[in-house]
Amino acid sequence: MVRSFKPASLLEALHIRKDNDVMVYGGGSDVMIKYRSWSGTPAQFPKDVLYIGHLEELKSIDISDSEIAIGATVSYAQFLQDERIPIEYKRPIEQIGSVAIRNIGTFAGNICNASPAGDTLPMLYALNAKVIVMSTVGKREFAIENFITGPGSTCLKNDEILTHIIIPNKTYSHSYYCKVGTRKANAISKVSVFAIADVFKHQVTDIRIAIGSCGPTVIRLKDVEAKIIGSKMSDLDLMIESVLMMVDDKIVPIDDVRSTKIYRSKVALNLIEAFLIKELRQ
Amino acid sequence: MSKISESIKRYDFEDKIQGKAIYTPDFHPEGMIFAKTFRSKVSRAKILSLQLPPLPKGYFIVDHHDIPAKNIVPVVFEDQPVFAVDEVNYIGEPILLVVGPEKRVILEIMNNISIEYQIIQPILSIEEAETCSAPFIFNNKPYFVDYEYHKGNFDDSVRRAKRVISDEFKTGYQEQAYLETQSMVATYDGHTVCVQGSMQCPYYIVEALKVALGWNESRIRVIQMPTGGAFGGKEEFPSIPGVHAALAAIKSKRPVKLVYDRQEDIQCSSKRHPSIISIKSYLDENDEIIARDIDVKLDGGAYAGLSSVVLQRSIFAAAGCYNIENLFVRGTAYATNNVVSGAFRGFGGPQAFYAIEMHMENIAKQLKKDPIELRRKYFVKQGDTSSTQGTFHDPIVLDLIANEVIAMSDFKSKRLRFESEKLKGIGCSIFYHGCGFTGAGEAELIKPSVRIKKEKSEIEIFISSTEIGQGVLTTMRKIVSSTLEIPIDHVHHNYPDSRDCPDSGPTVASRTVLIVGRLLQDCAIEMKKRWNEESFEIIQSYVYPSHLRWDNQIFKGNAYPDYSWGANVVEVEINADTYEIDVKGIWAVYDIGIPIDDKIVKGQIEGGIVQGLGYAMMEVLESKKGKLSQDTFTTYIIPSSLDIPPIYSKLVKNPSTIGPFGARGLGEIPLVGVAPALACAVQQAIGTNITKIPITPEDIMKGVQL
Repeated sequence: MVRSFKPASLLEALHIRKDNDVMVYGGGSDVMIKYRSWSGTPAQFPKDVLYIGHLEELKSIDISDSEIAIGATVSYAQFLQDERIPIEYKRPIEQIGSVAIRNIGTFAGNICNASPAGDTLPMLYALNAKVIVMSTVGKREFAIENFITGPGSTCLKNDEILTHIIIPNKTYSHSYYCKVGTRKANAISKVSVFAIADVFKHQVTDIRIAIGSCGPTVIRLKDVEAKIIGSKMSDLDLMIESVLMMVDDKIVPIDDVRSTKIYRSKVALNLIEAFLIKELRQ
Repeated sequence: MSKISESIKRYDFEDKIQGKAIYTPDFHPEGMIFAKTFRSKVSRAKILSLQLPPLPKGYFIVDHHDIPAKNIVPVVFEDQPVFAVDEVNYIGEPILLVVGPEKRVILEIMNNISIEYQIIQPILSIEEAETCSAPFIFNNKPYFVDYEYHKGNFDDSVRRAKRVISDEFKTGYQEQAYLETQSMVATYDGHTVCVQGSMQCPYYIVEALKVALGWNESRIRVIQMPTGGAFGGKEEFPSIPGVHAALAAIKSKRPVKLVYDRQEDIQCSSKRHPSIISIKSYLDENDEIIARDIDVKLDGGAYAGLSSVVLQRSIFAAAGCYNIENLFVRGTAYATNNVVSGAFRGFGGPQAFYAIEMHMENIAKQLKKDPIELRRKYFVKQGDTSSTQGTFHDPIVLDLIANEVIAMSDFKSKRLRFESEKLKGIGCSIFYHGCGFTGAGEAELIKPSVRIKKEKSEIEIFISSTEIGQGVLTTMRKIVSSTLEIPIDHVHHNYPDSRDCPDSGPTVASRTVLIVGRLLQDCAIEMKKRWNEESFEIIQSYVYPSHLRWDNQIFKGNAYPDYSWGANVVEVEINADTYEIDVKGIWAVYDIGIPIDDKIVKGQIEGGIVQGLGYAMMEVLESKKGKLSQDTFTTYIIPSSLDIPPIYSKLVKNPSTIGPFGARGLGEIPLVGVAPALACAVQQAIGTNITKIPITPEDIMKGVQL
């Protein structure tokens, strides 16, 4: 039998984390499925469980002029209901799972689960999100793409808890999100693209594109972005073919139970083309 | 509108909507313990040895040694054991039960059972079965049954033909995806065993218990609990968990609960038969279709189950709603080491109508004819004979149905417009569903009877028909109270209990309102005549209508006592970036006679259409080396509420001559025509022929021409 810990504070949680080999449990929407057992028996957790979903000190969204700090136990529903948050950040979140999942699921859980199909991740990659992890001895900060190291693996150490996610408080002239799932709701993505751009006087001054479900982690297209930044809008048509070739080289999709490698490649390129050619013009 | 069609509040509504209904998993009789099934993990093998761990006190193993009479699940053939003895034939085949008070301990015992197999080369698809050699799965041949029937003079017509158009189509598995998994609770009082659970056919379980136990029916009782969906998946399959739970209760002398987890349920329970159907049409010099050659192949899985009956419906339906004078039709249900295929809403019809309707579409395309008008030329009419040469005695209003669906959907102008608009398409299908059992089965095999009882001013209905969400607890009350012309609240009707309900036949085959409802109406007419008597009961049994004929040896005559008819139109647009199908609308027109309750009918129509939509474009279910790859609701994708397009449905009025108040069967027909109409629409949108369902965005990507 595993032990369960329900700390009263973050500090207590960090001490439990330090002194025990525990699995951190936020909303539980991934782990309850992963470790499910015969209905009516407890989940088969591989180790002791540290519940943090109830911790009030991690349940706030703090907004300054430049940053939005999302606490680890903020649910998707709380994020969606917060009127201070730019609408383009809500688009991927409102398509996650179902109402029930959005009521319980968290950004922190989605990040630590580190699935290449994680629905918050393409946006966080494109926004250059930072994650804050804490232990009893201090805190560390990572860029999201450095924090996630592979499918299901992150830099989180055994004594650390992810406490906050930081994204810029900014709006962009263009934003784009498309999730291709196996159906319109309650679906895991087969391929997804999140992109933002600033276009000023017909010139692309900033662009960031991230693709989900097309490799071991979400993939950020920095080479492509660098190539496009500074270009005139009128040049995009000419560049598109070489841009898409760069994308094709960068992504490494696979065949699985949900879709095929060839479909994922083709659709990822189609979506990026749709963003660069259609959406940016609007 | 007929008075009876006016909707009333369903009698099962409040309990279900308020969460008060006690489903089998919610039912905890005192002293109850649990059972879990230990199953084969290989698709075909001899069992060389089986080692059990020591059992703690109060824990039991139940296996084939505990069956007092026959180790057989009675369906059509006697080939399927209740528990495997020395061989297994599919992944998930039950070998034994572990029974006891604590689930945790049961799991520990399960994990410590060791079994040694000697693997036999499995047969894993129709194609493999066609070419396989001994050892065969079923007797000395690669199939359970093969059938053939003829109409007219096929060979002569083939010789006369100037043109042949042929197609081959494939359809996949489909999972019933009822919300409540297979669930049974059995109790034993030292004399009688009682099985309560989620089921469609209480008397199938009674029969299975009689065969396995060798007991007299007086020692067997089966009760339906509120049931969370069935769709055919609780027709023949529940006999297995029903007998398992009973054997466990008898051995342990405790009430035993057997509830499947979702993954187990998807892996082990019956599925819709995958099919390969080829159709060849022979045309004369005027491009008239003069003959047709149809070959239906089904994957029956490891045991015969209902495959023979499903195949019969499939080969009768594969001729479609068309009067083609010369037919040569074959069908084969192959034995494979896949999960056992079985009953599923439509019962062989969806595969057959998908094939024949796509084929008609392809003929229209080749002849450059309007797809509905080409079909219309061959519509069967009153007085024509069916594919099995039975006379259609009643009026058939396919012309009217076609006109209505064309008008509602604006089919013709959209069809023309989409010829030049990329990635848009509209398609149609025309179909029927034969209501009731095949041929004379109703009279010869089922022999249904019903009972109603009068006690002063109160009437009670006793039938074995089950409430599986289709509204039987409401519609039967309406039929009886309307016939007696008394307020409906004086008519009582509960979930069936074999102790006081006669065998009214299974709740399948779109037969309940038509056959059982009619018997109840007959009882009520009789009761009305004797209304002055204070208390009495009436029992009525089915009599085969004298105007029908059926020869089951050569499949000749009236294949069904009545038919429901329908037409669907589906409009789609394909997303140019993702190849996803956006269904813009589904239009549906049916002749189901007179509806017994408008809202219940609408519910059946919309539910059936959504299930048909899943079958057509989402519900991928593949067997890889005998194991189903999509065995959770994360991977087996049924439509969510956001995936449901606008549905516009309409009924045409054409009362049945045999059903109560003119009603015909309805439960299955709404599923039957969706896939071909959708596939025809996709075909127009992408300009490439669709030869398999479900149609996925991955398939469309390969076929799409941009």
